[in-house]
Amino acid sequence: MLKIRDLKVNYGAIDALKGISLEVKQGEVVTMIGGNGAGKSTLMKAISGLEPVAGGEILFQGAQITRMAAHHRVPLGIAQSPEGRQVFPDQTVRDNLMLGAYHRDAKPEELEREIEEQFGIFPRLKERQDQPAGTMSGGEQQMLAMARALMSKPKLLLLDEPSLGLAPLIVKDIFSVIRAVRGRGMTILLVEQMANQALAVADRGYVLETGRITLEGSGKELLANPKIREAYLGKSH
Amino acid sequence: MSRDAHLYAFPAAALALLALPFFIANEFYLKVMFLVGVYYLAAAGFNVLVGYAGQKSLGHAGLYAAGAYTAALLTAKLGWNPWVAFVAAGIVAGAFGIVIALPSLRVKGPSLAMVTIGFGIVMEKIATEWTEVFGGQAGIHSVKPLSLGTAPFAMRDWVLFVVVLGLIAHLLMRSLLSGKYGRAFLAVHTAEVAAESVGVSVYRFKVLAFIVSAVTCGLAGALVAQQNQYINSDFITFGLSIFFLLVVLFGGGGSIYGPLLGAIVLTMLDAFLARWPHLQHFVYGALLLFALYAMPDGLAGAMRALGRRLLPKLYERPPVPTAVAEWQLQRSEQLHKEAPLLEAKGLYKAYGGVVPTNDVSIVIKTGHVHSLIGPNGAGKTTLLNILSGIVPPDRGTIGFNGVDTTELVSNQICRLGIGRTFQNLKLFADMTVLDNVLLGLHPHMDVGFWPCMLGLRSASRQEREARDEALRILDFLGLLDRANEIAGDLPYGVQRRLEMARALATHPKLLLLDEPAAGLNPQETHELIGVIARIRDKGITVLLIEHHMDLVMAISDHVIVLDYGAKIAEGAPAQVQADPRVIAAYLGAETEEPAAAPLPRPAVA
Amino acid sequence: MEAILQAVLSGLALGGVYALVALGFNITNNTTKTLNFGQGEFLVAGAFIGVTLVLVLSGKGHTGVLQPEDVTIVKYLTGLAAILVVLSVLGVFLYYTAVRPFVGAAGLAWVMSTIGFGIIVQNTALGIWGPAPLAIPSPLGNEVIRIAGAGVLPQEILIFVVSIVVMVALDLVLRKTKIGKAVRAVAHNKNAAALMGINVPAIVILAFVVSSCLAGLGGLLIAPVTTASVFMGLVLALKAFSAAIIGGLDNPRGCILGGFLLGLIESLIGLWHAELREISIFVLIIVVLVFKPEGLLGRKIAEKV
Repeated sequence: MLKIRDLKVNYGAIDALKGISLEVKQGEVVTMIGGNGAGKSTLMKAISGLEPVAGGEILFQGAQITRMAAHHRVPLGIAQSPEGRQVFPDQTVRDNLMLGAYHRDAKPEELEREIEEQFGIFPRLKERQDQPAGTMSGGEQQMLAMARALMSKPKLLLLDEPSLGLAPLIVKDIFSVIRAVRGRGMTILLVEQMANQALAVADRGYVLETGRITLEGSGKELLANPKIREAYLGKSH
Repeated sequence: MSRDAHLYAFPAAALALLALPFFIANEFYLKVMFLVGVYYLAAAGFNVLVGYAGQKSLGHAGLYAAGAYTAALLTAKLGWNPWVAFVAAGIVAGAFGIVIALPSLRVKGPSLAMVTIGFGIVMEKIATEWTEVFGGQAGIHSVKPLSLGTAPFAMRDWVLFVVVLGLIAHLLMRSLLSGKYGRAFLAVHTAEVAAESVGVSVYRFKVLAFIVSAVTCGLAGALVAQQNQYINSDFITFGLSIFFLLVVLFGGGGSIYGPLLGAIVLTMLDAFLARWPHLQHFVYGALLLFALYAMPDGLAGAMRALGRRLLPKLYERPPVPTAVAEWQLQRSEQLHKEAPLLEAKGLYKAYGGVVPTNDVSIVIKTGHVHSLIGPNGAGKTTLLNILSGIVPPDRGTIGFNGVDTTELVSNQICRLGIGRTFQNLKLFADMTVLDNVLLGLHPHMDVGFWPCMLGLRSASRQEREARDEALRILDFLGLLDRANEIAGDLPYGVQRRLEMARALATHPKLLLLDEPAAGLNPQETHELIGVIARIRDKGITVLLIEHHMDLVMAISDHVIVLDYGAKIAEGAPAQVQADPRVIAAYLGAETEEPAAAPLPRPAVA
Repeated sequence: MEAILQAVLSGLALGGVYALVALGFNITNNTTKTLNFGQGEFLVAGAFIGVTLVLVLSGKGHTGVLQPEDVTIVKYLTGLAAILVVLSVLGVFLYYTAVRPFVGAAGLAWVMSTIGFGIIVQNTALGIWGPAPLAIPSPLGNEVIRIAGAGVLPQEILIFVVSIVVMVALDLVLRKTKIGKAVRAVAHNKNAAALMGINVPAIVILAFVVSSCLAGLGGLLIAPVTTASVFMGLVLALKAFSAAIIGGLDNPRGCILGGFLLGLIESLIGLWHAELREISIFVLIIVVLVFKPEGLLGRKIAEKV
């Protein structure tokens, strides 16, 4: 579904992504893990069109989207729960969800049904549906960000560091939700620092280090690989 | 312009300008020349505020008014000597400069524009409405002109006087702005946080810039009042404030010659379009837009670019020596190795619901290299910001070398001996490599405002010594051959080294490095290990934030780990590397196989 | 007592205009962190275009004199329609020439470019209409209405009512309609809004169009009760900006509150010492900026280094 070839992205003088290639097939959960500054969020932004690309290409379902404007990619079926959640804090949970479906021109009854569906997957959001999103905890905001992305009925769901800044127990909850969403047949590209959890839920994984992919393999293979620990904590001395 | 070129050009230009009035008989042209001089004078000082310090004031007509009305009232109503009144006008305007500076500096952005506009309008309204004192539209007559002997100045005399003032202003500004003060003003403009980190008190320099600009605008107002022997509120309009701004912007801010070019072109335009006032203002609006798009560096910038190509020798910078002595770090006090240099206790900082620093206590030992690590969002940069004075902690204390620095601001902490670099580079990108390092030496250049402005020996000597030291520091980091390059043009890895050089120039006892290896390729990262080791060998204690674990393990004596704003581990590198809590923080907890209770598939996928 | 009531009523009317213009500042500030420092000239343009259209529809030339019977409600509303069209175009033009090239650029170039744009608009207007004020009688007539002994003009009531209606309408649109929520999303976080499929550049242009139209409407409303000359724009805009700052530039309700507050203060001080009216406003704004720079209802923003 998603093919990335030799992607290069710069931030001013810095080469954030130095030519990476990866693939996500329909129905898969693929994870990209890496430490801080590896370039993970840059990749997500590039796929969603929030970051201009210096070289290489991005293909979605065979079509070139490398230079497409961000708001045109959403109707194609790409939705993202961005890094740090980025919910709209002054608008209610309901409003946030409705904004998720912005591009769809859906009828109010249809929207209602779908909001109820999301409440089914994320029951905590139902309790807080009329609360301003900014008053919720980090974990609840993360749920909202994911539900909001799902409201656009995507074909590909991009999750950027859902565990960021969340307590371990909450992270556990988030990952069970990710499993549930995957169980419904969604294609997911998950970018994470928490390598253990991410690799446990993924079919395949890539390791990103300072803008380059250094390892790839199935989720289980990578989980067992000691090089992962080295990538984060350096070689043992 | 290079020093030697100026040495020849200046006397020639001065003679020409002094001779010129004798060749012009037409009163109108003499008046235009007078006004060019007046506006040049105003703009020369205003340039310090707008062009160098970057504070765009839209209310300087108010300061012009302060000078004009002071001269008018003192001579017409109180009968003072016009020369004394002239000087007093400058002083009073300077005082008003402080009045407008204080509120202006508490706000940023459009609010700053608003405060200055408001000030200008208040001054205008006072002049218009308080008719008993200021005469409103009727104005004040019988303002005494300047005179030598018994005869008051004729038009030609005014022109000569203004030329002399202009020449003096040029020399003073050139002297002031080419050294420590010019660099400091530009630093305030480019990167305030970085300026503070090298000991430049942003606040003081902004106030100073306001005062300098107020004095020259005030003197300009006094000149006009005394030459016309009349002043009224029609002279003081928002349009005049815009005109001042235009002279500096169009002429070229940040350049000594900008105000001159701007004054010449715009005054002449003003005079020749005076018959059609609406066309005149229309042209100003258009010129303002044009200057913003096409000539962001103004006429002076455009001419400099041209001049560099045609007459490169005119713009040469002094050459850089190929070899220099080794940099020695002199310390006035001895630091005891192994003694605690910095002790932070119970630091706490919260932003709304987020707590990046949660009861953190650390001890930094003299002469050691300490590393601060932790996953993204752990609060490492916030901690550094608290230690370097950019952010005050909500609770907790910091003791550095026996001094409580908890409540101190950045520039004070720099002067006590903490230097730092930034995660997102904050170089003074438009200045040369050498100038960036010279700014680092700012806290150790104690020559004052007047010696700098008057170009005294002490100032030029200190400048020379600073330059020599800066070159040695550049050599220490392998940057000597790039001394005259523009900082913003350097490759990324070199820029990072430059920021370190600048921080070293502040003679730090403790150097804080925020992700020094970010964006570096493996080769550069490896070299960085050597650089940090050499810095430590010079007797500088180091605390660095890093994600590159190989670097951290190779260089550190002591590692501190943060997670969710709290310290979770510390110790020798190998110890920390094997600590299960640290591993969990980075990789996440080990997961058991998920409970197999799948959610029901929906009827419609 | 009556004098105070009178001042309050006039103040509320004046405040209505300030509130409208201040709201315009709020909209562009929230979406682009910039605002039109030449907004006063847009207000003037609104007033003059409205007057001219009524003149033309009454068969007089564009510099003719209007009699009260010329100004019918129909013509006034047609004038409004013309204003909305012309100012929308002007707003788009402003965005592309004076704002977009300088958004995010260091040094506040957009302040000066919008001032420059305003100067050009002002002098174009001067070229067309000349410096003399244009008088326009109110479409509702000039008979003073007595409320509890205080006299108020119908136009003042109109200003107050229209501004309240417009503000309520805008508030409803922002809170209840799809596009309103999209504008709020863009105002808060452009990237996240783009991730929803919202066309961010289009929304930004919309913000400038709405802001310019609000200024034009303000001009049309205030023209009958003030001397509408080409020079009235600057001070009016500055006062509206002060109102926005006092109330909190980033909060639409703050801007409205600030507008009415400023109108009341100006009117009441005018009662006491007429010549101190404007000085007091600007001194007040300086004081507010010093002690509470984020305004009465604004939010303090912590800068991340």
